Amino acid sequence: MTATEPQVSEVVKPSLNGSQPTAYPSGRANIVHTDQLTRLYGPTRAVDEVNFDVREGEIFGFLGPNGAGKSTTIKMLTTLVRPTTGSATVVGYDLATQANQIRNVIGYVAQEIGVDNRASGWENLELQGHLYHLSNTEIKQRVTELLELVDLSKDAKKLAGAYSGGMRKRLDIATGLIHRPKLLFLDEPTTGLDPQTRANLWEYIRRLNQEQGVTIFLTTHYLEEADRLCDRVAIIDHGKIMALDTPNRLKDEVSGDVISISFDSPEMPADPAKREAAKAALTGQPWVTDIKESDKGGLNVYVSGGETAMPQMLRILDQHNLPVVSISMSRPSLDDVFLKYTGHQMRDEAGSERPTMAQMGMNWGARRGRPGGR
Amino acid sequence: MNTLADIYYLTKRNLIASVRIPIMLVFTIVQPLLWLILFSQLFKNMVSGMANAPGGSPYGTGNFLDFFVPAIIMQTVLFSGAWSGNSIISDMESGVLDKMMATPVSRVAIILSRMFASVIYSMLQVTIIFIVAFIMGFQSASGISAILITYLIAFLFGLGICGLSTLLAVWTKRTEAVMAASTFVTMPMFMLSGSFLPLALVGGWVANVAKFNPLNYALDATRGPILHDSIDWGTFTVSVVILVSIAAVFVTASTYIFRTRLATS
Ligand SMILES: Nc1ncnc2c1ncn2[C@@H]1O[C@H](COP(=O)(O)OP(=O)(O)OP(=O)(O)O)[C@@H](O)[C@H]1O
Ligand SMILES: [Mg+2]
Repeated sequence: MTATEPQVSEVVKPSLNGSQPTAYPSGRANIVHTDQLTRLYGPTRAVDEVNFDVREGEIFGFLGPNGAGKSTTIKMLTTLVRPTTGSATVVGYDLATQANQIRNVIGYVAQEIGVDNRASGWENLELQGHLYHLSNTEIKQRVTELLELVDLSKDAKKLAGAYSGGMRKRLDIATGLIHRPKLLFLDEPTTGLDPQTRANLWEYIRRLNQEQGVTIFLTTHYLEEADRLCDRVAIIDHGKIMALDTPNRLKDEVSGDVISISFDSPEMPADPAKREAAKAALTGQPWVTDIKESDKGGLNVYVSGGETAMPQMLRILDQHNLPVVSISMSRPSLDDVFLKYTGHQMRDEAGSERPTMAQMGMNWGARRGRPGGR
Repeated sequence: MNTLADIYYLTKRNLIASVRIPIMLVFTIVQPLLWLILFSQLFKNMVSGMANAPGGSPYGTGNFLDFFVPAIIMQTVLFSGAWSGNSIISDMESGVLDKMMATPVSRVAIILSRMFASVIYSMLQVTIIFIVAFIMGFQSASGISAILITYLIAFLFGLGICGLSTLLAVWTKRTEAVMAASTFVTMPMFMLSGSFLPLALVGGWVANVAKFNPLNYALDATRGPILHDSIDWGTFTVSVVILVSIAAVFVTASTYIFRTRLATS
């Protein structure tokens, strides 16, 4: 499965803005690079000597619980908060000395919705266009396009104060895009939204990334969100990055895959003898790391490299005359990953966000990979 | 050039936003009119009674309205201005400010446009007071020049007060602090002024303290041309110089504090 992981760095991006900073030749280097980036608030080490790169064209996620330092990192990279120590380059510009150049090419959508409730959707976007010093004709064209994109065209003249939460969030995201940024920062874009709106927003973020070629840096404390949306995820806790990789590889690190098998159809009472026989047959195989009985009378077999383990397992069970009625493979969740790297569970609502094994099995494989032709 | 454009668009946005709070609109218009009507009724007889006092009326007029209109105007500008710093705090709290800061917009424009919008809004109030006053029988001895002078003085005075309020706002970042501190400044300013009583009638230490009260300079410069059909350019110049200096100090200070302490923290 890891072999099919798209090589993000090879994806060729169309250049959105004409001039490139000298330190950032197109198609090379990383769009964000940090070096020991640190921010202290009194004794609190909000962000603690953090090093990471964001590659051009990817969706990069910061996953962490409340107070982990996600927003502080974003605020430093968007020039809103000065690093205490350390340095960073954003779209090739130096954070300490080229703040204004950075502001021209990035978009920022804060954790709190920053739309002006006393202005209409149209006016919000229009003002944002002026703040980026776009021409009137350009503003008109972009505003029309963006309202279309976020499905607000018919509410364009309404005051944002009369919008629903989801509408305001979409408007907020649209304002971050008015100047065609190369890099978009989304701080907890879906927190507080209902599942339907959240799913729509994911779809929209993916489209932005794939169709418009915008590199996306988002933060979240939803494991599922990081898993489904991000090409690479950094796990951050107490201001430190604990792990950084593709969601797949992060989960590989934990304990490989889980193959669930059962020998009886659900209507039939389970036969413990078959289960014991299967357990004996599989124990000792080099790719089996653990075997546990499942609630349904079958087995959960923990293996390394699920794709190759599954056919071998079926063959062995066949040889022992133990026909398998159902089989499914799933992977450990990012929750397990989080636990492994931080030694504790994600706090608050994270727990309820954990997808069920079945869901993960279904989603796995189908969701990865980008469309080839772009 | 960009800075000027930024100031223009942001001032426009701020003004439109203030006009869109219907309840605020009602307050900002009804309140000065209430003062106008109440105080003029209250002092009406006293002023007209003194009109024939030996040695001339200390009010300088027998028409109470002519005396009070400048006072009501400056008082309205004073209280509106004192409140104005809160608008930048509400931008901070709503996240609108952070979002602006992430754009290349001029930092100076963000803060200046806030103050300009407040003062321009006050000018709207001044206009309404004038209209109602004229309907009630107000007369300007120097005609239109007195009206124009009143606008100019009210603008400068208002800008100084907005500057002070905004300075408190960017310094403390707290609405309560702005409210408390500006009441602390505006109430004595209002009390120790010739708003309702000619200072000649007050006398004593109050008259001395009043010399340091910018509100009195605003009143002197506007009352003269309204009550007499000649303009005392000396008084006018002194007032303008004082009010411009005050506005310059506070606007510069609040802009400086905003840029250094808030624009990047
Ligand atoms: N302005 C500030 N003053 C003092 N402490 C701060 C400030 N901003 C953040 N902190 C502290 O820094 C730490 C990291 O905060 P940050 O907002 O970056 O977390 P986060 O990961 O975004 O959390 P959340 O998921 O709740 O948004 C926290 O301990 C927080 O209390
Ligand atoms: Mg946050």
